[in-house]
Formats: sequence, structure tokens, C-alpha cells
Amino acid sequence: MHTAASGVIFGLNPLWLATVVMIVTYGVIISERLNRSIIALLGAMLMIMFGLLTQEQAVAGVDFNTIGLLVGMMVIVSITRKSGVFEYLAIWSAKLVKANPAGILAMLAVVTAVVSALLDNVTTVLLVVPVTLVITEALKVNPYPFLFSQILASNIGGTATLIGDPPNILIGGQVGLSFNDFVIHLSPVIVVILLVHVISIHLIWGRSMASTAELRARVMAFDESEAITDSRLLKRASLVLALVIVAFVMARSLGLESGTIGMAGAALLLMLDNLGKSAEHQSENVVKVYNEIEWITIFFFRRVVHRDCRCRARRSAAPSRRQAARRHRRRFQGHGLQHPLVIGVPVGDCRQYPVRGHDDSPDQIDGACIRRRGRADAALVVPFAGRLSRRQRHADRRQRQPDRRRHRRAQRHSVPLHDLHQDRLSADADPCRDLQRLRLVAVFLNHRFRRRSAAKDRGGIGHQDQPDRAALLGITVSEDGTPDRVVSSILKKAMRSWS
Amino acid sequence: MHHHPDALCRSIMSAPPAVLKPTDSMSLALQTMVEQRLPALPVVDSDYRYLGMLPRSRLIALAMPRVISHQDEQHPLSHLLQVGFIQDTLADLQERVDAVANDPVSRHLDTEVPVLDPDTPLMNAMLFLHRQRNVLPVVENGKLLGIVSVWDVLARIGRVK
Repeated sequence: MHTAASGVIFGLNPLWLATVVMIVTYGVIISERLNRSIIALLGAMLMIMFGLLTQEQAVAGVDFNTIGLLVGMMVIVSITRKSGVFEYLAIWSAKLVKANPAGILAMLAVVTAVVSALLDNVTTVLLVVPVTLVITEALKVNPYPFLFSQILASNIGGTATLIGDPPNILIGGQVGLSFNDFVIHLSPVIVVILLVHVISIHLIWGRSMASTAELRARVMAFDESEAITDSRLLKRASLVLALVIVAFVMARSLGLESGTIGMAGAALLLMLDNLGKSAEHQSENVVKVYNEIEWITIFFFRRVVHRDCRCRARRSAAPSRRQAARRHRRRFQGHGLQHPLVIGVPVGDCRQYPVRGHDDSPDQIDGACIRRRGRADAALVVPFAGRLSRRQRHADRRQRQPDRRRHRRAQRHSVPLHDLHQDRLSADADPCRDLQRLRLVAVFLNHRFRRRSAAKDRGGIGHQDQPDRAALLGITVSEDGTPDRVVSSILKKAMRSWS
Repeated sequence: MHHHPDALCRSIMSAPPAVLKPTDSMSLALQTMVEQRLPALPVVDSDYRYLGMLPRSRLIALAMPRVISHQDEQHPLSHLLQVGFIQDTLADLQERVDAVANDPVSRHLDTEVPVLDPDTPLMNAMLFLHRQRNVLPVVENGKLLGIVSVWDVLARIGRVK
């Protein structure tokens, strides 16, 4: 854990160095002097060369689930678009409203939103815009309102699902929200926002748009069936896209990660598209598809995902515990930002599990909750059980009926530190099983306590001098033993339930 | 290293059969191109300084919906795969070209055409011709010296008089 610290060049403070690298990176990205993927790559390399991260840590920080999903969906789009279905949709929707410019403006916004809920935003806009330009030229209307409304609509629609927008994929992956969570919680809101968008665009531009009957006849003469170049491919692509969406909806019960589903869909569609073709034709096809993957987005993502990794390195690189504590305090202060997705997680059972991934545990005894962190600190782990069903959440409790009251108390009232060690898990409860499903919050308590009698004391924490003054130093969310960032509001909730 | 003089563009260069002034109209350019069956015309100013080329593909693009001529620079995904759904007739194409007929050619120049130096190796010019460039300008010190045209080169290779 401390290898990273020793490697930082010139013995610089890793926190400051990492912060400087981050600020410079974002500064250059904002200035747009260089393509963002190049900057992201340079920044990531600097992190390794400055010794802030080892290559292994950097690679471990890449969220391959997100990247798998992105690449998978890009491959599916790239093959599907060859069928001409996106042109078909745009023309079909334009003819549906009798080529009335205001109607087309609204219809194309809706089509863009729906398509980008299922596909990547940028891709959707790129697919719809060329047809839009053909239509606006035929109608002799200004294309600007159309493009403006489509850009907004694609972002609105993309928010509705996990796969609609790369940030959603990232948030979903980090916070553990499923495809269904996104659809259930966001779709109703998105429908309202889309309506507002369509109405405001209509009021700003749509109602004053006019076109002659002759020009409209020209658009009505468009033959959308001509746009479908390969109806066999269209059927196969629709089948795969439907399968992928069903798989996303059932991801929990299938036990599949979104990256796997995306890649599986891509593999299936690639296979269906190339089946029965000659070897040369196949490789030509595959190269074409891979060329259309947006590597800029992928490379940028690797970098974004690195941030999390760096936070981890920053902590593990702590030269001393006191510095670590100070750093925790600083990080806690810095997390004033409110994360809407995390705030909703209730603080559930305040049971204790062993902290994994920390190496300073002189007094830790099998399953005890409190770990000594030097003289001043104790680490306390609070599982956030909000993501589990009620049944799962309380499974453990049912097994341990006699302790039930104590848990209730732990949730609502202050718990003297010396009580905590007695509240260990029973032998038949498997904390590791829960650890995989639960989001754990380790609360570091800055607490003065005296060891009663170091080795003999099974609980290992002894008496406190000031049992009621527990100061929160930092917080660590962990799902698999690896820490993560969390917001201050959760800290406050945790504090409320503990003090 | 010095190339053999016969291995340079200078050796296959020919005089341009026609040049355009930047102020010439697009209709004149189209007429010249069709009458002399030229794949592209170089555009030069009064000092014979090279300004750009007007290839026939540019005229074809102007007869089509405007999005077609913007596609080269954009993302591969934004290319229309085919435009068969547009039911345009010859009259529609004429209408589009008529709309730009009085534009000066300087407004529709293609400045992306690779420019050769008289001392460029001959093989470089051949590679461009192979890649569907039909006429390449040969420019020295900003002035148009001549062109490397696919017909002239083929005629010399095949010893056609």
C-alpha cells in the first residue's frame, strides 16, 4: 500500500501533485487547444510517471464495465445504421405530420429523444442531422432551430436510461444503479421535460415557421422505404437490440453486468451480420465497424474513471496516520457537493463488519467492528443497506432475534464505543456475503480512548475518556473493500444515527 | 540525393488547356468543363498565381442537397448512406445549379487538392492519379506552371499521339 508514496517524484506531497495534474488537465480540456482524448491520455501517463499511481493501480482504476457497455453499444449502432433505419424513422416522422415544418420540428425532437434513450447521444444526433438537413433544405426553412432542438432533445432523452448517455453509465456503475432504477426513476421526469422542451421550441420557433404547399409536397414525395437498404439486417439488428434491452431489464435476475450485455449484443450482431460471408468480406466489415467506434469517448472515459483510482492512491499513500486523518478531514470538507443519487440511500442497520483493505489493525480481532487507528482514531463500519430488498436487509436480523433490540438502539440512539465490540456478528452470519451486496461506510471516529489491557481485551477498544464526543474524520464507501467517495449529507445522516 | 530529371513531375507536366479567373461565373466554368471534357479546372489570378481547383465533383455536389458537399469533413457516422428516398428530378438539379450559376468560381474552390512542385518525384503524382485525382496543379513559387493530367500521362505512357 505504501509503495505508491515512496515513488512520488521529489518527495512531493501526492495530494497536491495529483490536484495540480487534475487542474491542469481540466484547464487544457476547457481551453480546447488539444483534443480531450490526448489530454486525458497525457494526464493519465503523468500520474504514473510522477509515481502517484503504479501502472497496475491505473489499470485497475479503469472501469471496464463502462467501457464494455460503450463499445458494445457503439458496435451495435454502427451495424444497425447500415440498414438505413434512422433515415427511415426521420422521414416517416416528417411525413406523419404532413411535412408541416412546425410538426417536423416537434416530431424530430421526440424521435431524437427516444432514439438517444437507447443509443448514445452524440451518435443519435449524427444519425438524425443529415436527414434533417435534407428535409429543411427541401422545405426551404432555417435548419438552426431543428439542430438546436435535437441537441437538447438527445440530452434529455439520453438521461432516461442507463445506456442513453456515458455519464449515466458511469454513475450507474459507481453507485450501483441498475437499468431499471434509471428507467423507473427518470422516465416520468424525462417525459415531462421533453414535453416542456417541445412546447418551448414550438413557441420560440415552430409557430412562426412557414412553408408552401409545393415545398411540402416535395417532402411528402420522399420515399422512406427507399431508405431501408438492407431489410434482412434491419430485422436482425432489431432483434439484437430488443434482446439487449430485455437483458438490461432483467440484468439483476440474470446476474449479468451491463458491460457483458453490451458486448454480448455486439458479438451477436457482428456474428449475424457476417454469417455466410467470405473471410475477406468479413474482415473488411469488421474493420469498418471498429473504425466507427468513437475512440475519443473511450479514451476520455478511461481518464475520468481514473479519478476514483487516484483518490484511493492518495489515501493509501499516506506517510503517517496523522497526515491520513488530516487528509480525510480535508476530503470530507471538500465533499460539500450534493449527489442526488446518493442522498436517497437510507442509513440502515448499524451493524459492524470488519474493515477490509486497511493494513493498520493491531487490535483487530475476528469480526470486531472497531479498529484501532493509532491513538486518536477508530474506524467504524456502517453498512448502508438501502439497496437491498427489505427481506435481504433484515435476513441477518431474523437469524439473531435476541439482539434485535440492540440493533434498534444502535440505529436511533448513541452507542458508547465500548459497547460496539460486543455487538459482533454471530458465527452463522456471513459478513462477506453481505459485504458484496452492501455499500459500506466506514466512519472514522476521532476518539480518545485508552486501551484497557491490550491483548487480553477481546473487543480491543477499551474505555473512552469522552464517550460522547465522537468527531467524524472521514468516510469511505466500499463495496468490495475498495474505498470510494461519498457525500457529506450521508456523513451527517450517519452521525445522526450514531450520536 | 538528386532525382533523375525524368523521374520528376516536370517531365510529365503539360500546359493547362483552360484556366479560370476567380471572378468567372460558375455557369462559364460548367460550360468550359463540359465542352472541353475536362475533369477539373485550375483557378489563377491576373498574375497567374494559383488559387485553387474547381473539380467536376464540386459541380455534381452543387446539384445535390447541400448536406452532401459537407460530408467529407464530418464524422463517418454523419454520412448519408444513400439518398434514394429523395425523389428529385432533373428539373430539381437544374434549379439548384441555376441558383449558383452567377456565383464567382472563387466561392466554390476546392483548396484541398494536393499541389505538386515541378521537382516532386513522378511517382508521387502517379499515386495521386491512382487515387482518383484526375488533374493536379504544378505550382512553383505560388505560380501555376502547368498541370499533371490523367489523359496526358496515359497518352505518354501508351505512346498515343
